[in-house]
Amino acid sequence: MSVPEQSKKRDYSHYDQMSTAELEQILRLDFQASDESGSDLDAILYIADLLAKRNGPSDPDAAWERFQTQYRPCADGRSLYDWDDSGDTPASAEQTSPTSVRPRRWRRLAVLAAVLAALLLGGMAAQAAGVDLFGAFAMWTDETFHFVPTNPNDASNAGADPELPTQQQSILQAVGLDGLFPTWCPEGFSPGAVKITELYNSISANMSYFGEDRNYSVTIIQYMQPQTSVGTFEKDDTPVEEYVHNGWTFYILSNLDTLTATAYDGTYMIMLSGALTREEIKAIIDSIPFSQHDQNRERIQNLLVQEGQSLYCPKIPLGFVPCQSNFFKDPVTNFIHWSQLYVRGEENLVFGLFIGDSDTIYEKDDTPVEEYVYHDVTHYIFSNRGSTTVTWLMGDINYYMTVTDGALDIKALIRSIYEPR
Amino acid sequence: MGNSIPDEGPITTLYQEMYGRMIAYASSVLGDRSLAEEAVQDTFCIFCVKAETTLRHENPQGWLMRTLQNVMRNMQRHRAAASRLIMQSLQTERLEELLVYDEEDVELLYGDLAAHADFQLLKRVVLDGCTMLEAAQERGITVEACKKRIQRLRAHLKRKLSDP
Repeated sequence: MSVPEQSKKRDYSHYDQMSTAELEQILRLDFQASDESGSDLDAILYIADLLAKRNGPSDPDAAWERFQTQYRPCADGRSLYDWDDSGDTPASAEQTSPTSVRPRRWRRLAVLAAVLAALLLGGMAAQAAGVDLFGAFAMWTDETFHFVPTNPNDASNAGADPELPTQQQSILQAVGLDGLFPTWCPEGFSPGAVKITELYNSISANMSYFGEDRNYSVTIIQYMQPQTSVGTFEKDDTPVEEYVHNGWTFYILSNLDTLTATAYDGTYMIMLSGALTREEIKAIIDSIPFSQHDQNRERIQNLLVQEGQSLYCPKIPLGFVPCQSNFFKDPVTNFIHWSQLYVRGEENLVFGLFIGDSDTIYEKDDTPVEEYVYHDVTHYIFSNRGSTTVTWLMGDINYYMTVTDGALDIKALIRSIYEPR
Repeated sequence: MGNSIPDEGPITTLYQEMYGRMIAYASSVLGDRSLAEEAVQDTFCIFCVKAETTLRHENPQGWLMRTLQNVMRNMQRHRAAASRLIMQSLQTERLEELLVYDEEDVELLYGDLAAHADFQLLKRVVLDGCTMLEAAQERGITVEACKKRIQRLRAHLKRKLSDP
């Protein structure tokens, strides 16, 4: 195959020294960035050429035969996978600019090459520690930072789903929502059955309570991603009352003879609604244990134990108290996100992990990413808007910590993870 | 390889030149050789339909790579959306009711069977990672028919699932 004419002007021979896995990774990263214009096509073609030669003959004659007999007869100018009827943008590229290279994209490839070199230097030690170098690469621009695995189709299976037992508390425990359910109800009410609803982006538990001539319900919803809207509540002109319990702000609103109290922290939404007095609804709120963080921690530890792994946690400094916790497991993909927020006055510390997600993107400012290698693990430290984040991989688990700038020595926090307990 | 179509020579030459590279690129991204080939073939289909313009492009190689990227994005996006649609359908309590086409169509005398078959086809392509060509060959239909059946079922399920 001929080398593109323009590529002869630029020397790409340094790619010859890279392994096939590294070259494939560069192409994957290019693809992920390619929705903006300005990719260095000459470099990409050079790399693709290299890989094609390494992979051996590809039998284009047989492929051409398949093209002529199977695909070309149904060609209509639109992609086979363009399944919308709406006539949205066809796949064809109407503009290419082979020589216009945006500095940012070129810098991204150059930085990536440097990252690869650095990873290679630390390769053997890191692999001895169980870090799969060629299972993940760090990639960053001025705005974002993320890990990208070599096989985007790998999905961590954190274990089989537990069976749902029959008792209500056990049912709630199984979906991790028991820590947010009220433990008290007014005299004269009896709880009904728990109804669990699992959708692709949320899981919810609902239980109704029945009194002699009035009822109320409790609903807890856990969202996979923060929602811009969690619904609209109808209300009369009675002012909305704010009621704070255990760091959660509940908004109590009335609509004729129904009171509703609702709170939402970006992950969990709690809603109590029914024929209740204000005193009753506040007492129900007060009975919510908010013990989610202990339960969530136990869940993630149990999941990791099933995989033969440990939970690597930092030593939380004095004064920081656990506030909110998040645990989410996608029922379809088995993607898991766990995080714990600690607060000390105005200072925050978030510690968490992702399992099975290859597309986590961390926002960052334009200060350089610092690599801190400790205990044979490379930790990537970067800052954004008054906070500092560190992220690293342990096998297929992506850990992260975010602290308020100036609150803590983040490297000391990193080192505390590996201290014997 | 050639035939009497005037542009066929340049198209053949470009195919020979770019096929291996595009396969290497697509395989790296998709992680599957069969899907990679389908993406490459799909890209050349688009190229051929627009041959009057594309063959005269200042950089047809670049055009092919850009289009290949768009084709793969389409592939990933639509498969992910269809996967969610399948999950939504499987989670509903009225799946059997969903899998019945409403249209009075002479080709759909057995509307429920057609919808069931289309649902299996969609699952094969989306959940099993089959290419459209593989799924079409399993059923003895053309790739074009495979696409049309998937489009029909998608539109039907989206309409039905959005009904209260």
